[in-house]
Amino acid sequence: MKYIISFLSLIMFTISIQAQMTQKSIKGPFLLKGATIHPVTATPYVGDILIDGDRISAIGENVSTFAPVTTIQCKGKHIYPGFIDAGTHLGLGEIGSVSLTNDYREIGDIIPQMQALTAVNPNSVSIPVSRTNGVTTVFTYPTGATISGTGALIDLIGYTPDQMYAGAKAVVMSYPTSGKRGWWDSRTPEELKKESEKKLKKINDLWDNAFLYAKIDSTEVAMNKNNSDYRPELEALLPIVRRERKLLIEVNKAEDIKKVIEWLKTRNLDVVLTGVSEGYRVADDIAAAGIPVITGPILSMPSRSSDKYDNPYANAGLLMKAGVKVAIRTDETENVRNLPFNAGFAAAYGMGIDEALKAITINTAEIFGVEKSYGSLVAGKIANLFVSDGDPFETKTQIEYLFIRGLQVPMESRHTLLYDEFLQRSPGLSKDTK
Amino acid sequence: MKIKYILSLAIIFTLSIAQSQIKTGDLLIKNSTALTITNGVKENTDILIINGKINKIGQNISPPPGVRVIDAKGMFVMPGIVDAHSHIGLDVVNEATNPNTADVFVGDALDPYDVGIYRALAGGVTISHAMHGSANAVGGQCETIKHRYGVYNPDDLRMEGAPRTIKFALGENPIRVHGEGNNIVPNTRMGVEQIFRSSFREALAYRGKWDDYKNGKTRTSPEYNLRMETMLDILDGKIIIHCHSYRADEILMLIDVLRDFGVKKICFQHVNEGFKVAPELAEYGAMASVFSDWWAYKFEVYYSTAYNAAILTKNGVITSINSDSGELIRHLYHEAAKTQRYGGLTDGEALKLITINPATQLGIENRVGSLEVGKEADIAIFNNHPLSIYAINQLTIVDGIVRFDIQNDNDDMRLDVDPDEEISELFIETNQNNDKCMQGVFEYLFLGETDHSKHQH
Amino acid sequence: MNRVLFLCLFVLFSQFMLAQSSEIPSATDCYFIKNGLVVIKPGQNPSKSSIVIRNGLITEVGANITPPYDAKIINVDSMYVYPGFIDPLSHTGLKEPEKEDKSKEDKPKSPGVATFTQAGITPQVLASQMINCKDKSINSMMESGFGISHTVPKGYILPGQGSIISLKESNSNENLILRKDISMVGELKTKRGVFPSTLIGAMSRLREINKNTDIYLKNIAAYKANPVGMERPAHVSEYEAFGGVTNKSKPLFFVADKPKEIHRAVTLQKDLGFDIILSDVKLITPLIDIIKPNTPILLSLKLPKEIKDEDKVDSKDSLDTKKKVQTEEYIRLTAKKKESYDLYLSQAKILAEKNILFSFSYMDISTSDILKSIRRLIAAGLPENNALEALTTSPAKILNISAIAGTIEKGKLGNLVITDKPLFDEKSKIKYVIVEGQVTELKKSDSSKTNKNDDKKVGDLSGTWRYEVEVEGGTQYGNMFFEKDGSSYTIGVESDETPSEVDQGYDISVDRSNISFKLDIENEGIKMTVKLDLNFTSNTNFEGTAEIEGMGSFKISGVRRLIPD
Repeated sequence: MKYIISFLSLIMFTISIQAQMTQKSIKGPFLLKGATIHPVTATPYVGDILIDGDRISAIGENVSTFAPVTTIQCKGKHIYPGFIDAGTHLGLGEIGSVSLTNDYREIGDIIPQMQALTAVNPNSVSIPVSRTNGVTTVFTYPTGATISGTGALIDLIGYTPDQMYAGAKAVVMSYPTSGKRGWWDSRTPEELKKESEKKLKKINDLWDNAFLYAKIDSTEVAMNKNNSDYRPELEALLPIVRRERKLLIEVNKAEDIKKVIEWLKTRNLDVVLTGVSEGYRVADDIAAAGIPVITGPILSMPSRSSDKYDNPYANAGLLMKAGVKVAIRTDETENVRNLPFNAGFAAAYGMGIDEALKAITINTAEIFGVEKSYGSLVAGKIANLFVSDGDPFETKTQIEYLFIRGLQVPMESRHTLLYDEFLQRSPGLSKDTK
Repeated sequence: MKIKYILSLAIIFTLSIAQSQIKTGDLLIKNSTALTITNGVKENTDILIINGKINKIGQNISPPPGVRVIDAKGMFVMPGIVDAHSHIGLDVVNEATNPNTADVFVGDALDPYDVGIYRALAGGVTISHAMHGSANAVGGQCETIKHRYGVYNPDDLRMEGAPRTIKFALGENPIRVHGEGNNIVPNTRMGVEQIFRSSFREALAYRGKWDDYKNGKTRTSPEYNLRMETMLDILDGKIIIHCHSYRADEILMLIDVLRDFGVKKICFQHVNEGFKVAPELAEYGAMASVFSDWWAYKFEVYYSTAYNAAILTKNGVITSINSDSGELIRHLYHEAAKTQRYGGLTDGEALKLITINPATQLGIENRVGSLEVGKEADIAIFNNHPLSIYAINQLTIVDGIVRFDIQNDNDDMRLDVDPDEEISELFIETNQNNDKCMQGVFEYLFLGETDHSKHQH
Repeated sequence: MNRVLFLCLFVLFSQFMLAQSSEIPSATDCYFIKNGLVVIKPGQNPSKSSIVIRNGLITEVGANITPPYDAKIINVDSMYVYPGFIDPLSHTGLKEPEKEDKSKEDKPKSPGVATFTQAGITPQVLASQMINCKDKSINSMMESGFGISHTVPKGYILPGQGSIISLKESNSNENLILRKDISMVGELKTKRGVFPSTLIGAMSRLREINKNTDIYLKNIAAYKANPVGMERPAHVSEYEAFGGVTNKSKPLFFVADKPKEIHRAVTLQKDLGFDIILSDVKLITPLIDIIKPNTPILLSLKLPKEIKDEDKVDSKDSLDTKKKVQTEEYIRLTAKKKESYDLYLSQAKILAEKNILFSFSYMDISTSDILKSIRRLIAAGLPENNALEALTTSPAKILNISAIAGTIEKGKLGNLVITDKPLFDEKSKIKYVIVEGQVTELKKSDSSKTNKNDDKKVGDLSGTWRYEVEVEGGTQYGNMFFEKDGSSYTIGVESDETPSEVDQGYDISVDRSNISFKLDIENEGIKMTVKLDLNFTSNTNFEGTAEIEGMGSFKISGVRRLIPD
């Protein structure tokens, strides 16, 4: 990558030779000097950042150190915290239409015991493609069933899933929708209703059982008795029942959202609503219930043909203005890299740049309960950050340096490698054609 | 001499009748920053539109009496965006029952009431190439439509006089439908090649039969075959081929076939591995219409790069960015801007990808695709530079008529409302199908067994 | 065997029901319709007149005529007399082709190489050869006031040719035919899974067929003139049949319900140069300008569901019904729907205002809805006079049979409809229908068909009923046994396929003339529940649906067995 090379200092010369084979991440400490720092939780200012180990060890208007350090001049550049995508299948899926490369849909309808983290492929080609656009952390989750499993927050670097794990898991549940699944869905309204009622009953039974199971479990633990029976589904819901872990509920239709809010009044659960594509229709209800929302993709179609054309763009902003804590997701696999553009559209259509930035950094960290380590540029937090030549939402902006867990990560992916190889093909035309 | 004169008069007369059916308008856009595409960026510029054509571009143009003036101070005016690959405005996309369906014509299935057309307008897109799907090696003929949303007559959607185009398709889709689906050729990329070669050869044989009949060599008239007639029209250069393709090898295969049969007009669609054979494409004069960043949705697009458009452009291939989606078509300006992140194209280069270049690929570059005097007044007005993420389209003009105005946008823009529709807050419609390249194929082959929400481009 | 028995029963039953029985010899073929308020033709006021019908023809109409000595007098004093209605497009009286076993169906080697037949393109199929004089639809159309139907085959793209039939009672299929093979019917409906499977395929196929018909006829003519040294042109019955359309001797009734479909039909008309009659049209006025002048239009009587005020308070499933009713969006969408609804309802009115020749088509409407729908069109602004035209003189013109039908004039067919109140009056009931001099007096229970809103009771239904149900792969027959049990019934069902095995109905509910119940059946080891919903149109007839979970809903109908086994 030519721009990387142009910024490499002499110290790194030997490494750049190596880079033509495979670039590796580099350990610090690093001192980033003179950039405009966007802490997210405070107003931007010009200053320095010292990265030591996997943390930001110092940040401020003037940071200096006597320790040996790689200094990177960032004058005129901007530093942002790494973006967090609040919903993806990254690492779980490789090639959409080749089912054997996809690990996000297990058999069964209620399978919270399925662990996304187990199946994350640290070498997925999509991971470098995503992080080179500034996305350093994602929530990756299974899908397709009523309860598809337990998703995990991961940093986009590491040789093993455990190395990537970023300290938060959540069970994902899909609220039985009363809507059609697509243009090809020929079920009548009555059939849809019947089906969703059936599913809802199933969910109610499940949670009744989960709470009872938790009670029995606690009693057995108190009595120092062996666990009488192993029920993996209910076992996996224990942390949810005990409010040690979040439950993410996927729900999109306005009517369904209202039903979920009603439903939650009878259940003591720590919940985040996801999807919420018609959230703007019931924004006040969501705000009043005090439930945070993960919405997206922003770049999607209005859900009804009678809808205003820009509803999906405006949804996040309308929710935010109603007082809902909003995080943005792409719900993507190979194109998680579009997260900043999704935020950019939300910003343009009413959310504003600052709030849109929060929706892919600190808000997401707070929703997943990892705000002590993620989501803003503050001393002591994990050094997930990047240096860009401008506003990272702007499409033309280039990201120049990327740090995840304090490592400087090469700005390289299959896409850049193919570019480097094929921009000027040599030799050119392969055969003598007339 | 006299006959000639009368003939030409008749032509002019019929043309003027055809033209007069299309509603055109007059407008004056004042004080804009004009992104002309072919003549740089012009600050503080006025654009006068008369009868749906750009009449004058300059400064201090005063409005003729009765002409509406649009103050575009601080705004960016660009030619209407052209999408070289779309399926909006169509009731049928795939006639998936044969590896060659050159005889069918999606223009027979136009849907002027598709609200997707309005949504495309809202994103500044004034023209789209309504294509047949990719189920067959030789698909159906396509239609270039102007987004005159609001018209009732499907004919008013057609861009009258635009060249004929046809869809070809290589690789996984035709193989899946015909080989895997019906156990007939093609089941491999080898078979796909032979569909083209045999179709062209059969067409030539068909022409031979008719020649024999016309020359009196035979007395029995051969049957008329619309499929063969269309193949002959391709051979005669009357139809531009737009070929769904991904892999470098299959792209080269089609170029070889076309070279053998003397066919010149070819624009590859998607062409995710076009970057690997950019010099060959440029040499043959083949064009490329690509996604900005779609990849990995199937195996043949696994070795892709979002730098594709940049590599193709820098190798001299006429390249466009297309949508193939009712969703993407709403923000093609943003998709074009991605070539700036991935490959560093200039503003001028990036904007060409959605204006004059796709127009060239559709053979309408003399009529649209840039702001030039005499061209049709298809125009989009943005509040910010259209390549900025913060750009919001304010006004879209087709033939001098304002078809989208953000100030006058009713939420519900449907033209065709079912009197029996169910209105309920318990809403039952969800994400209308965006990705129609394989539309109709599911019903035909797989209904009930396939995950319909996946991309099938 | 059972089917034959059933047909015999049906014949017996019809004779029992109708006022006139062919088994008892009639004394005369002359009728005197006395002192009716006669509407000679649309646009004329009813005036007190009498009509003489002899040998099926009207021989005299007038105020002061005396009954011929040999006439049977039918006194219709204070009743209204109209010309018999004419149906310009339906499938009346056609025997459904026996549905073949799907596995035996002639299938092409691959979907792209289907023959005409395999693709369902059958212009050579003749309705005239499919007429079944005993088909119930003849009787039910007649009871709705129709004397004449133009009946066409069902199918795809070019299902076949239509004939005009008289809706009289007869034992001869041929005897019903007034005009044989006079039309072609076309529709962009395609068979799935073979080429052409979509409307774009169908349109290109039609273009090809049109061109090849000309080529074919030219080859045949050339061969006839001089076969020496000429390859013998193979006989193609499809081209032969379509020749009637290309040489304009047979009009093409093209089914096209909404603007886009109409545009496609008109596009073909322009491309191919033949005449069409736009058929089964639901919405046309937004595109009326593209219609070639003098193209007749047949409006579908399948109207949008009535929008009633209570629809607004649709309480099902809403958490907060009141709030929902008041949402701005709901009001807006409802208004837009109403606008569309009004436009659909006003189609006939607008066509009448524009003086465009139109009538109705009756392809898939139940006869009980016909007059109801027309009354709704009148309520939406269609003048009664134009409505009557659309039932009488206009279809006569479209079918080119004005010389024999459409008005009450000397020399025309003796086809009349006689009602107790003016025809379009909400409470009006048909009392007599006369078809070619055959008089049918409609019993009260039958005429209630024309007005379903009437709170009717059908009396005791106990006894044995003969049913037929149209399922995939053919028709199944059997018996139902109703036994009165207080205000409800016990019901047993015996299929002809498994005689003497009687399944008991359960969950039986009776609501006025509706009885619904469930039935558990076992078919080849698979247990299924059938939900039956029967509507008793009289105390001798029912129509309804049999719904099998997971398989869909099938039409069922039945008649009462009036003689013991």
